[in-house]
Amino acid sequence: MKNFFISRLLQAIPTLFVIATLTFFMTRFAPGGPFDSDKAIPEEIKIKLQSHFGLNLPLFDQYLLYMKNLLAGDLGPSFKYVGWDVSELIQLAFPVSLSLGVSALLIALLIGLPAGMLAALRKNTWWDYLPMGIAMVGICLPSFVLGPILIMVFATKLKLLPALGWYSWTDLILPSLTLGLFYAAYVARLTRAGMLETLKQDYVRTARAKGASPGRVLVKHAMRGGLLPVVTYLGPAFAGLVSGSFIIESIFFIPGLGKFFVTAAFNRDYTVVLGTVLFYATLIIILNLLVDFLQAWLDPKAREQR
Amino acid sequence: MSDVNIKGLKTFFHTREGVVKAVNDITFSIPPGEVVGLVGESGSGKSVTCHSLLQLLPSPPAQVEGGEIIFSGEDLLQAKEWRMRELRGKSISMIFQDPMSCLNPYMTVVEQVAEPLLIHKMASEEDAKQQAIDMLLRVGVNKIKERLNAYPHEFSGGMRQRAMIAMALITKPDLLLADEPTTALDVTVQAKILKLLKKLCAEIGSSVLFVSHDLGVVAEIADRVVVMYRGKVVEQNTTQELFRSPTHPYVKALIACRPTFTGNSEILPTVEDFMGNPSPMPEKRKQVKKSDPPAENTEGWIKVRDLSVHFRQAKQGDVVKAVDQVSLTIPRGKTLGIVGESGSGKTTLGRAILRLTPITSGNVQWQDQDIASVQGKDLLAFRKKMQIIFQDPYASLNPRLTIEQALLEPMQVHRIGQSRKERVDRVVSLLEEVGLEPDYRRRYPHEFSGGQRQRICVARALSTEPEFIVCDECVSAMDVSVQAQVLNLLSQLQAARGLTYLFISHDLCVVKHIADEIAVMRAGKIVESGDAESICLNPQEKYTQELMDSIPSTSRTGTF
Amino acid sequence: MAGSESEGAAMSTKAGASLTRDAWIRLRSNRMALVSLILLALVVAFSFIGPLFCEYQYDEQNLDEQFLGPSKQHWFGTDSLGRDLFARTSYGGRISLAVGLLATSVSLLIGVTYGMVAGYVGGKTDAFLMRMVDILYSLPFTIFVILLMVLFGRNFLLLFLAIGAVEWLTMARITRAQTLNLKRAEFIESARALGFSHARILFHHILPNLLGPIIVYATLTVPAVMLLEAALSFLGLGVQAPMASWGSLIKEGAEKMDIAPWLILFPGLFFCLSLFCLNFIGDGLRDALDPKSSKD
Repeated sequence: MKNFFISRLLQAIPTLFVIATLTFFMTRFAPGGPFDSDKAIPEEIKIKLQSHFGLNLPLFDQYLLYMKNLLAGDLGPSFKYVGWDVSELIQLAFPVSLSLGVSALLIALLIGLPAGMLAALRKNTWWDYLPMGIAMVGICLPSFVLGPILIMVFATKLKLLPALGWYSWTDLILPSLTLGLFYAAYVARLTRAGMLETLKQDYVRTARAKGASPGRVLVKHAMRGGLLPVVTYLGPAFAGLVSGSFIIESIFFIPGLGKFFVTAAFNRDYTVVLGTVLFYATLIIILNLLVDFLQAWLDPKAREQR
Repeated sequence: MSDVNIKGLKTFFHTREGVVKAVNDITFSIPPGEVVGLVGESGSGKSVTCHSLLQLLPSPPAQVEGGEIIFSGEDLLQAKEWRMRELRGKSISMIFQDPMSCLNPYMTVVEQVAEPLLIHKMASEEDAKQQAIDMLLRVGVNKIKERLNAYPHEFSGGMRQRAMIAMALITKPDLLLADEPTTALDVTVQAKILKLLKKLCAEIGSSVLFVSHDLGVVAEIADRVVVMYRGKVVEQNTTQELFRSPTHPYVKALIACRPTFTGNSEILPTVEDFMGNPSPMPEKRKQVKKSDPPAENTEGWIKVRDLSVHFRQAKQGDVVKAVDQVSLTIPRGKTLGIVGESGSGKTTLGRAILRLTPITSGNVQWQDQDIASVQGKDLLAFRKKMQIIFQDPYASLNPRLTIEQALLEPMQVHRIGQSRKERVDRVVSLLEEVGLEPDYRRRYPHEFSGGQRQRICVARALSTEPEFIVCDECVSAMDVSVQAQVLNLLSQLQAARGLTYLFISHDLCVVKHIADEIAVMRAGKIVESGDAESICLNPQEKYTQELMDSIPSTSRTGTF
Repeated sequence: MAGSESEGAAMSTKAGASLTRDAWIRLRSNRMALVSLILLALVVAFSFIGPLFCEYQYDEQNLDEQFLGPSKQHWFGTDSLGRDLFARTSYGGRISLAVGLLATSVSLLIGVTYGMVAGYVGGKTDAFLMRMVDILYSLPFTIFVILLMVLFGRNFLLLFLAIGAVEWLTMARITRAQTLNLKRAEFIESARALGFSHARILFHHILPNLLGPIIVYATLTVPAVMLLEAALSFLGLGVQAPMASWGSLIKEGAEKMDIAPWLILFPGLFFCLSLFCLNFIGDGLRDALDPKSSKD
């Protein structure tokens, strides 16, 4: 197990390196990019950029400076928000997105897992058709369609829940539901497929032949194999939750990192854009590592790979 | 000690294509403490019978339509599910064919072996674990104390099967159901497992229902034998009586069409010969054109010198010597048999000779040309003359091509025949030569049975007019009767076309039947070689002797 | 419960039943998939032939007719600039479906070739190629696409190239896994023993047997791509005015939802319906091509 941990960690480092390098060169060479000299940028910012990025140094030295800054966690000053550093902005906005993401994930798992398992156990009955039918609708209803509809129904018409802004915990409900339900649908389908596949396995038949009750068969024998596809899906799901948060935060006017990112993209606030990209990339790589560990913990055979 | 009486059992499968009467009114009993062998080929219903006893069949397609199964005075077919759960694993246990897929890969072996005790509340957790360890030692998993947390994939096939046995017998059941438990094992391991089963069950006092397709294996362990054919019991008797004086023609056929050690016949009898009814599909055994008689020089036609095939294991970085300095000669027009267990390297050897696997060192001389180094057009010419037939006839045929397309393609690649019409004619005659109806050539592989598909593979191998064919376990996946047909076909073709065979198999009886000379392989090396008679009847090396001794005696002699 | 030898006797001598035909029969009997096929065909017809029935152009503005509800004049109503929604929705359909199809084709082409080469050649080449895929897979692609859009401007071509580039990874993985399986199958070894060239084996024997899973996955990729494009357009980073896709239409509709709900209703309906049908067809194809999976 320990070797697995180390080797995985070591694999993550080149990935981060590649991303950082890619971002650097992309921005330097993009037409209409931030370092085009005819952009109208306020003086104070220009000075800060000069010193931070060393724009008068040769290209390779700029690159080294960039990497050095990165390792120190310095992402540079914001183009638009004078006086603010990108890392400060991230520190402010990220906790908001984090709470949104975590609640959405919880919703996805707490609804999706039981629904999928029930559907698998009561296959080809209404307990199967109904949840799976809803799940199918769920994966076809993107958050930007579902969100406005939920707002219209619950906030505008019924006046039950607050729609926009981020003032109290009730503001969390509609956005997390919108984001989470899509993933709940995916999780439900995956769980059902995984459970069905596992329940067909020979070793489950052996468990029954030993006289195990259906409950025991499910929990002690089928669950691990059945849940593995969901665990594998968690990796892409994290990535999806991150990008989904952009849309949700835009719709619901939540001051999270996603909204900052999108706004920055529009405003050509390059340092914020780049900084956020790097931050998210690092985050996702760490999350993927966690998922790998979870998988290895569940599946003894996976521990020996690579 | 309990009595098991099965009366009039009927289990049907309701499929989209209609009702399949898998088990159609069978009656037999298992006296307390005895081993009853249930024998049949595929489709006979023997496995379904076994599963019906524990009501383990998936209920939508399968349905028990009638009969009784009286176990200690209780009719199991009338028992409710909760009652069956009480019996399963405690009074009636079951072991299955493939221990890898039948053991939970996510639980340690010790946990799984202890589980029946916990399910039936026969011991505390601590106590169950200890009993499991003791049981595992008893079945011969000797290193278990050092591997308490080991998972199934860390054990070998034989060890896993022993663990399954431990798991089944730990609750000292009255009845043990064994569904083909040794079929997937090497012959030496099989012999040991059979002995173990017999000993343990006698000690514990369990009766056993031993299901198998192999009469010889059953004869080793069973007191009584029940033979099934197409869902019905055709004969049952004590083992001795059944072998000495079988009455039903099917049973006679089963006994007769197994190649044995002492048998001398060139052509094996087949089931059809005994059943009296003509084959539903007429076999056209046309004697096709005689090829040139084999050259005078039958010596050393294909010479293999110091051949080695090494694989680098990606994980640990060490080298696996699949074939290690092997030298042999294959005489022209004859058959060299290669015998070995799993991991012996026999399959790799066959493929290396055909250059389907890269050769690490050594050479393969074919009429003074070194095959290992030819390229391009020469390689193509060489491929034309040397062909291979594999074990799994379904996987050997491209499911998307019709038989005709599959047979035409090699001719196109090797430019055999001047026109398409000529090639199609050749296809027709090839199919007749292997005993298949030529009109079937526009059908797809999945529409044929296993034996027929293997014939198609033979026809395809013949399509390039080869002189040498490697038969890689090509009858191993078949029922005895089908096996006999294919072996007969191979013999006839050898006589008619002067072919040379390299026949690879783990089944000693089959190899002795068909081979003129035999080489025994183990761990990549040749242990012993010589002509078939002396190797089999008078082996010199210890390993060869062990192999010969592991063959069930009935398989060896054909009699009890 | 396959029978013994004599089962074969029942065969007649008519032409064989190919696996494709069997799959088609199975698909036909799947009602949901059939219904989805028909509905999808209708949606496609609407997008491409619909405009013939409409007297308005998709970009025809008429400031006197802003925010009109559905009526006999404007079947789906009008938007903030008086443009006819029916025309815009069908136009949006053309764009969204086109992007879906084109981007999927791009990812198919790249992914299948990549996966087939990696799987067939094997060894170090395979290890290297797949390591690249693994690294790329762990990158948050959506974010990168956004970055690309920001830096390089909003180019329609770039958009669907970028989207296609996201999806090819999974296609490559699936193709490689299938190729590896097939490579080990004995009919491929037989082909080599019979002296067939690598090219022949790849195109005649491996590729046709790959088609099944590829088609299934491609059918399921189209809705994923459409979702991605719609999300980007919703964020304002996708197609730019005067072009419109269902995604951008939904965005416009969401902004004006309280006064003109039809603006989000119609594009949203068509969009979700297409996704729905494509997913069902994809599922149906998967079941039809591999009868051993899920349903039983």
